[in-house]
Amino acid sequence: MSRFDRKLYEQKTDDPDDVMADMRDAIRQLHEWFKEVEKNEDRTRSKATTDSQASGDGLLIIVDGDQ
Amino acid sequence: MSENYVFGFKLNMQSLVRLRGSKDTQFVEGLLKADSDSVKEIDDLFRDYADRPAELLTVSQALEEMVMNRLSKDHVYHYRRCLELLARRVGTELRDESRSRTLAFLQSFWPSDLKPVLDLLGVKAIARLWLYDNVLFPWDNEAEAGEFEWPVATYYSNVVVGQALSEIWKSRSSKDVQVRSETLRAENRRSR
Repeated sequence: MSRFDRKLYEQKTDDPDDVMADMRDAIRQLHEWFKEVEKNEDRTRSKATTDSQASGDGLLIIVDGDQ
Repeated sequence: MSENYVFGFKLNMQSLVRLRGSKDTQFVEGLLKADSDSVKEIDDLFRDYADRPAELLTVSQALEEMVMNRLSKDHVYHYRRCLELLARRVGTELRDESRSRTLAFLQSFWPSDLKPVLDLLGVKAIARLWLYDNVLFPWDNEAEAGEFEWPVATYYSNVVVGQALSEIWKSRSSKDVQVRSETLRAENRRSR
């Protein structure tokens, strides 16, 4: 596993120690999105197909902005 | 663009793929009307992107090329920019209610920077795919798709969604998040 690069986070945040809190908050939001996608999903049907990319609803995430 | 965005859509990839070559010009007209503000914003981006007037493409033209299956490798960037508009029409946009838009803030990190933290949190499905581009649309295969770097589009199939939900549930229910957070802090202290 690569090491947590504290210096990098220092460049990006006021308090690099807060990155874990930020990450948990982001995951909480992703969790909400995942739950929304799975709602009413027919999991039996999706497991039966070989092309899981194409069956049923999935979550599309588009990340945009400055890098 | 000076702000950061992360958009989430509940979407059936098949519905999106079916648009290519559908000749559904009514769909395009409906989209242009229904999302006119976003269309205008992206048209502005296209104007900035074009080096010469001859290279200028509008959102309307890019959408038409996709539904009429007249794709051009010169318009890889334009098709990707239109993905947001298509996803909003074909799927359901999901609201980002994270604190201070934390989710959007995370896009400023490269995937390799975030992976150790996500791994520590036990969310391997997210770690594997965050900022990983796996959407070929509107192309059939990678050879056709050409190269584009931004914006990044990631599709979590319903199987991956199931895995991610399971991992999130485990990391929460076992209270590992707190333990792993302490591990990370200790690692930070050692590396200072």
